[in-house]
Amino acid sequence: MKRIVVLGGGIGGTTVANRIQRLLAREIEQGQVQLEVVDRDGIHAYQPGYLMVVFDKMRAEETRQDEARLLHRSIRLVKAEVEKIDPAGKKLRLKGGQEVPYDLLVISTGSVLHPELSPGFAEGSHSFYDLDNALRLRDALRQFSGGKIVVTVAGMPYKCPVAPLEVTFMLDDYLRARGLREKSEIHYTYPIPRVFGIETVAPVMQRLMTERGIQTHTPFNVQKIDAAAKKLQGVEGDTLDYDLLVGIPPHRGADLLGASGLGDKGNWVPTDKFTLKAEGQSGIYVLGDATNIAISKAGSTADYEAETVAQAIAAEVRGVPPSARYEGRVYCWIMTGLAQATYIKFDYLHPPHPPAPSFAHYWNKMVYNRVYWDMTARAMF
Amino acid sequence: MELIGAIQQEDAGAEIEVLSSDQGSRQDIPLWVKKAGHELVKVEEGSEFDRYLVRKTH
Repeated sequence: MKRIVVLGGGIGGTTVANRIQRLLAREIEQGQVQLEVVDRDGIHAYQPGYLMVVFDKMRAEETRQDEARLLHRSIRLVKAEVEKIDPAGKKLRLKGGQEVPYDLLVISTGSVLHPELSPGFAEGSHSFYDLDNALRLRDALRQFSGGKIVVTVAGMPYKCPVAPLEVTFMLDDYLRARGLREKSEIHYTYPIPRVFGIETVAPVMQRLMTERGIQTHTPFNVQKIDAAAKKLQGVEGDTLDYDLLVGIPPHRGADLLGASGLGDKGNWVPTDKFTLKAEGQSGIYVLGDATNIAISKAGSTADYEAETVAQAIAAEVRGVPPSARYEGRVYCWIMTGLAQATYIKFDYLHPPHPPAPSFAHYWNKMVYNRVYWDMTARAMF
Repeated sequence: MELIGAIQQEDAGAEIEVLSSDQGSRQDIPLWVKKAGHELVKVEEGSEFDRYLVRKTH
């Protein structure tokens, strides 16, 4: 019997497990293959929902479901913290000492937020990258009566690269709707010398910001945040004061990847950008934020990568050489206001060209927020 | 993008090599390295991509 273990029950781990199940349904039913997902808490979070929670477009409880309900019934869910991966012995060691052997492993452990890596961030900055902070920011905005809002990125790489743009445009619209825009300033800082990483997209976003009176500061890399003085100091020498700071905290890969000798300095796993195999390892695939691939750390990246990984795993089980390749596909909506959006769709060879923002794209995003559980997590397509 | 991530993760003194096919990098990388007070050790322009070597100084 072959044991396939998927490590992590976020979007990547869940969708790849359901895709593998579909491709190997017969082998699993006949007991030739066992498919397991190992997840810390068994709760599946729809992380794009957090931004929606900030602006009252989704309720907190709509951003989570039990992982067990999302996985096909033939997939075993193990709720446990993994301490170490032993690639030579092909097994996981769980907290408490129990071991889980595998023949094929998929690492989908995502990224971990590390606000403490940015001095003053935890005390001085709001954030929306986890549910508690999203709720806190929502409440702070309800109290906000005008002033200077600064949006900043305190570390690279970070997941959902478009999120700082989205929160900025949504804040602008939110303040207008409440009659507070004229009493407020919105400042957007970004670590590179333009407002977004992708060259074809940055000028489009810069134009929207200029039209809406959003002031931009690039390049701006956060050195420290002085929570008491409400000042944001940049590595490049600029300082911005603020009344409300919305920051993206630094990210790292999961600690266990570094501890297992699989991660680089940031705990990201060196991964082949086409095959999604962990470099220098056998029987280990990596997807989603956990890789070191220079591509957006985003749910759609994980979803597209899962197709490739599931096909590769099925091929390995059947003893044929895997031929599926990940071509760098990503699709992200970009909220450009409270009820308008655009999107970017691209791959390794074809950069995106976002269409004009519209209500229709926004509506698609809102529908997706609801159908995510069936369409993506349960891998309907 | 990746250069800034790498700089943040490395210790002072480390050298980071960036390969970029992005036209904007020819302007952006030297500009940022200078502004942030790091050192641009070498730039090699190539037909498919350019190679930049940056030393993290602090």
